[in-house]
Amino acid sequence: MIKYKNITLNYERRHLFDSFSVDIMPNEQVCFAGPSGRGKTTLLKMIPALVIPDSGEIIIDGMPMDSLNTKTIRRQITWIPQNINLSVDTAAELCTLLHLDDKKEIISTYINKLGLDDSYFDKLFADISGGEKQRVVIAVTLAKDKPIIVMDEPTSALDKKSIGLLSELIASLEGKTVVSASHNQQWLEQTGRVIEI
Amino acid sequence: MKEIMDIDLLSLLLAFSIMLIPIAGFIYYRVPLVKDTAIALVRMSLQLSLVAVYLEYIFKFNSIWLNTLWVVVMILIAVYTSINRMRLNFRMFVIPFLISGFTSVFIIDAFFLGYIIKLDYIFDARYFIPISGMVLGNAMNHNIVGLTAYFDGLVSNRELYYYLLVNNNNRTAATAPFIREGLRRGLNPLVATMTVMGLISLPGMMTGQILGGSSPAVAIKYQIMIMLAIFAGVSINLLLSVVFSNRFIFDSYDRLRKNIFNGKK
Repeated sequence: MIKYKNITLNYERRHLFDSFSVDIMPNEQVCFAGPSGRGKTTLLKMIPALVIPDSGEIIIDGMPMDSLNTKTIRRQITWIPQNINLSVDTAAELCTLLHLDDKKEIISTYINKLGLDDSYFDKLFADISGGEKQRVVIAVTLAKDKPIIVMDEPTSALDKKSIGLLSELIASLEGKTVVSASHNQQWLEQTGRVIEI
Repeated sequence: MKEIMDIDLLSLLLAFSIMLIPIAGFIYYRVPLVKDTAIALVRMSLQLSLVAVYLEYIFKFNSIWLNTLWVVVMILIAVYTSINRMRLNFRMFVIPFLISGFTSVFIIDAFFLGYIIKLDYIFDARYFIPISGMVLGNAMNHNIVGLTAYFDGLVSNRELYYYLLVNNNNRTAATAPFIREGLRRGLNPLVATMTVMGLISLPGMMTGQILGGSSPAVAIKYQIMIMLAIFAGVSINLLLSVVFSNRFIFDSYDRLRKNIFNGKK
């Protein structure tokens, strides 16, 4: 379970949260929704301890997030950031950086499920569209196969069909808690629970 | 061997006139280097003139304490200059850079002066000071290139760093691509220099030795040794600077600290 408990945060000179609390149950699919600038991404970044609240606690599987538990908690988290313009040239290179060279079969399955063929594995990111790159990055990262998936704006560059395919892929993954942030209506409709920020 | 030709003061002053060509280029293309170049030329001339006087005495006394103090001062200046040139946070980097500077000079001097040349007196000013100086001078230049690439890479591609940090759950794996790039950029010029050494460049130390009356065979042996010392010293210094800096540039959650640069960047 992921527990946001009485979170208060001023971030980059803005007052974002005051005693914010929410519980996310295991295997639940939750999406933070709301207009830009309200702190959806900031809330997501608290799960892998990329943002630390001024007060309150993030508790994951009963473990409070502090510097002693960071490694244990991050071991359970797959992080897919909003900015997919990672300075990496190909999916193959990304695979090596993530130590996933022995997971090419499962990556290929995910790439196919997202409507792309295996050739995208070696294509230069510079030569493919933003939507294709986003799908490839998501497919590769999901192969880390951790119990908590945190996705920031996973549909930002996707069309309707691709959003549908991504929803189906996420739903097909067993035993995963999925927390995302988005304001895409189609994604929100296909998510288990929407939390308005 | 013929006696080395001295350069009279007027000729040396005349030599400065050649600098008018690059300075004219800087002015034409509005490269903001004119002031820095002028300051560097004045500093170089003053510093070397003073060094000539100091070295006369240092070589004369040849004392372990004086020679060591001289090398310590060189390390302090190299560290200060590196931090300033890279516009880094002085408090954050002074300790890691000092440790890497002292360690690399200690390893290189102990190995080359004590083990390879087999000096009876390892602190002999004629060997200890110029070899430490050459290692430090090169280490400073290549450190600036390599560490700038590393720190700039981390700061400007922090999304990639955090992506790798969380997904690999390991800071070492997350910083690895940035360290690789820093080392590659820092050491590549040195590899290129060694590759063409003797073909399109005659190194300064060897030239100096030959002009000073040594036989080319001895000068070349020393040049090979000094290149090995420089390459090893630069690499050790750069690697240690990265390793020790990493202890200071991340917080307890392995997040990149915001004050790596001194704010003037």
